[in-house]
This record gives sequence, structure tokens and C-alpha cells, in this order.
Amino acid sequence: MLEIQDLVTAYDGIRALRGVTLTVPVGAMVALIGPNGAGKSTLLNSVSGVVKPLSGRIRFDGADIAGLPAHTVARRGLLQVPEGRQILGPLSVEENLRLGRLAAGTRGTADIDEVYALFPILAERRRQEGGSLSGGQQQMLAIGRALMGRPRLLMLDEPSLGLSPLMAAQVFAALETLRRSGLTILLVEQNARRALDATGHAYVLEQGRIVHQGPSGDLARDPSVVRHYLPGDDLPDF
Amino acid sequence: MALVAQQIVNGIVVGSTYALFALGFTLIFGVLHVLNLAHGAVFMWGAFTGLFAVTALGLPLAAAFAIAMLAAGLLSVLVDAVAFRPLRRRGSPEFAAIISSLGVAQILMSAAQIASDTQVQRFPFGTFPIVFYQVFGLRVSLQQIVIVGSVAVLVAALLAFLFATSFGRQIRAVAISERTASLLGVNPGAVHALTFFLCGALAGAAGVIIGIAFNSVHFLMGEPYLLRGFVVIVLGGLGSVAGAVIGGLLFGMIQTLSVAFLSSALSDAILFGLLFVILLLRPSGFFGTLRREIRVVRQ
Repeated sequence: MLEIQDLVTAYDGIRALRGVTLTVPVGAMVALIGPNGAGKSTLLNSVSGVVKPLSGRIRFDGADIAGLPAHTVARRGLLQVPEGRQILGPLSVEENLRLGRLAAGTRGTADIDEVYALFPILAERRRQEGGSLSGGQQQMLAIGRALMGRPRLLMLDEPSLGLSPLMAAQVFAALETLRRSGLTILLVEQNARRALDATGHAYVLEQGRIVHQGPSGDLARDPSVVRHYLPGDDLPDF
Repeated sequence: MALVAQQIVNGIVVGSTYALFALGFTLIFGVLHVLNLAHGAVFMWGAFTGLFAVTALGLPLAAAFAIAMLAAGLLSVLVDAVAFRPLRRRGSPEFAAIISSLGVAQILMSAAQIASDTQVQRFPFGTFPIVFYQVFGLRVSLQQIVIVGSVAVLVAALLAFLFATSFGRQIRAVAISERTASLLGVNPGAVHALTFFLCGALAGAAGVIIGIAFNSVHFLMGEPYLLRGFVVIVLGGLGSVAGAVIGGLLFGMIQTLSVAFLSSALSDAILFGLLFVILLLRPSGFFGTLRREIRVVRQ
């Protein structure tokens, strides 16, 4: 569904991505892990059209989308839930969700009740300002808002960042529900343990390059991955 | 007492035109975070278009009003395309946009000066019927009633558009975060053009109203409005729609009262002194923070 080949992206001449190749097959849930500053967000933003890649190819459903403006990419059904949720604070929960509907375009209108069924707390808070929600609720709103756009591929940037373990578990449970319903997902996560547990395939990005890739279960047992990304793996998760 | 009441009525009429002018000024700031110094020139061209529609085309005033709004709206979109969009693309600092809009304003004023031969133009006698009413001992003209009524309709229409339509939601989303809005499928370029169109149309409406109220249309008429509009939107809070309306009305009343009871020479000194005091004491304006739900500026 998504094929990235030799992607290079630079900010002010500094290369944040140095030839990344990555594939997300239809219906799969793929993880992208790596340390801070590895270029994970840059990769998602290059795909989304927020930053223009220098070279390389990004094919989505067979069409080259590299360099397209962000709103065009979104309307094709490639939606990003950005880092830090990016809720439109002064707009109500319901308005945030209705805004998300725009990306659905010709793929048909999305049903707000489906989102409320997935995240019942949002239905309770529908009239509240988005900015007044807790971090976890905002993350649910950000995911629900993207779902309103009928995504064909959902990219999530650090969905558990800053959340309590309980909230993070709820968010991951929702992702698991979405995966089982057949949604294709690319997950960027700082919590490598959670990401590897939740996905079937994973990539490790370091300094703008893919340094490991393979089935998530294998990576979770790979000593070099464990040493760097799963410290204290013999300890409980939290 | 009756004299004070009469001046307050007059102030509301004048203030409603300031509000109309300031609405577009503040909305552009709220969405794009730039001061559009060509807003006064768009207002002036709206007045000229209305005048042209009445005198050269012989159209009724209502039709001239609609044409002036449309023309000023389109001119405002053109201002965006020439003065702002190229700078936005390059990510230039906001200060650059102030300079380029100032340049466009000068060009538009020079064009009007040439077109009008530097003469003050007037609407033909009888364009608007001169009728006065006595209401509770106050003298109110039909013209004043129509001015306040049309401003009220336009403000209500703008609020309905901003808060009850999908386009309005997109405008508010871009005002809060252009990047987030674009990730949701909002086309920021289209939203910018739409915002400039709305703001220009409001300025054009204000231009025709002022042109008729003072029966004078000339190439420099936008300049004082630009300065007063600036005071109004600082008073109301930059980017605040409600603040522009309340600020405009307050400004109009302070102006008419100070002209009536102090001196007309002092009125500008008082109003710009007010700007100075607001900037010192409450730089976010008086309504911006109180009416957060209406405010469209970045939080």
C-alpha cells in the first residue's frame, strides 16, 4: 500500500533522512522505532507532504505522492495523527471530528457514531472544547478525527507519548481494534516494547537510516535491538 | 441629557461603519497573522466601484452595493496573491508582509488618484432619500437606520458563516494551526483566498456606506480608516471578531462625544492616546481574552 524508496529529506542542508526504504503492505500494522532525533517524525511528515523530500520515491496505492501538498495527500486517504495530538483547542470535540470528515472526500461520509462507539468518552465530552480534554482523551480525539477522514492508511506519531500507562493501554487497545477491522497502520513509537508487541513487522531508524527490520517478534529478541531499545526488558513494563 | 443621547446614537452609527471596516482587518490578522495595510485601499476601491455602478451604470443603490462588495472582495484576493502569497511560500518574516501590503496600498491609491483626476467624487443628489424621524425626542435619519441595519445583517451573516458552516470551521482551523488543518485535508491556500474575499467584501460594503454617509468618495479616504481600524482592533483584541464589533462601536461613540463636547481637534488625540494606554495596560485588548470562543487568533 505504501512503498518508500531511498527517501532523502533535509532541513537547511542537514540530512534528516539519508535514504530510507520502507514498505507497509495492505492490512498490516507496521512499527517504526528509534531514538529521539532519528528522523521518525520527519519520515511521516515527508510522506504527509508537510515537508518536501529532496529525493526518493513515495508510492501510495501505486501512485507517486512525493511532493504533493499535505491536504491532497490527506484527501487520498493517507492520514497522519501528528505528534502531540495537535487538537484544535478552541474548537469543540464534535467540531474537531467534523473537520476530520473533509479528508474523506469522495470515499463517502464518515459516521461520527462509529468514532463515538470506539471512544465513548468523546461522546460524553462532545460539546467541550478540545483543549480542555486530558492528554489521553486528546489522543483519542486525534485518532477519531483522522478516522472521520476514512483513512486507507493511518500513520500515528508517538500516540502514547506523555500518557499514563493506563491511558496508553486504552489507546493501544483501540489501535488493535482498528487493525483487526482491516485498517492499514504505520506506527511511530518511542515505547519500543509496546510497539513491537502490537505490530507484525518493524523497522528501526537511526540517524536517518533503517538499521534493522524484520518481524516484530524477531526484533524483540535480537540482542542489538534489545540492548538499545528494550532496556530492562526482564523488568515489568511499568 | 438629550444631547448626550443624540451623540450616542450618532456614535453608534459611525461606530458600526468602523466595526465593518475593522472586522475584515482583524479577521485577516486572526487567520494569517499579518496586518493587511492595503485594507484601506480595498475599502476605497469599494466606494469607487459603488459610485461607478450608480453614476455610470445607472444601477439602483442595492445593486451597486452588491457589486461593490463583490469587486472589493476580488480585489482583496488579488492583494493576497500579489502581496502576501509569494512571501508566505518563501516563509518570509511577517514584517515583510507589512511592507509589501503597504506597497500595494500605494499602487491602488495612485490608480484611484489617476482614475478620479484627484477630485472628490459625489453620489448624485437623491441616491439616498433624506428622511428624518423623531424617536423619543432624538433625531434619527432613515440613512442612519439603514446603515446600522445593514451592518447588523453583515455581522450576523459573517458570524453564521464562521461558526455554522464547514467553510467557517476550516477558516477557524487554519487560524489555529495551518499545519494541523492541512493534515486533515483543509487546503490552506483556498482558505486564505476565501478569507481575503470575505474581508474585502466587508471593506467594500463599508466603503459604499461611508461614501454615501459623507457624500464624498476620494482616493485618500481609506487612510484615516486604516489608522482608526488599527486602534479598533487593538482595543478589541487582535483577531477577535466580537472585539472588532464592540471596539468599533466604542470608538465611534468616544469620537462623536469628544467632537461634540470637547473639540474636534482633540478627538484624534484622545483616540490615539487611548491606543497608547491600551498597549501599555492591556496589549491583548479588552475582549480577546473574555470572548475566547469568538476569537480566531492562534491561542
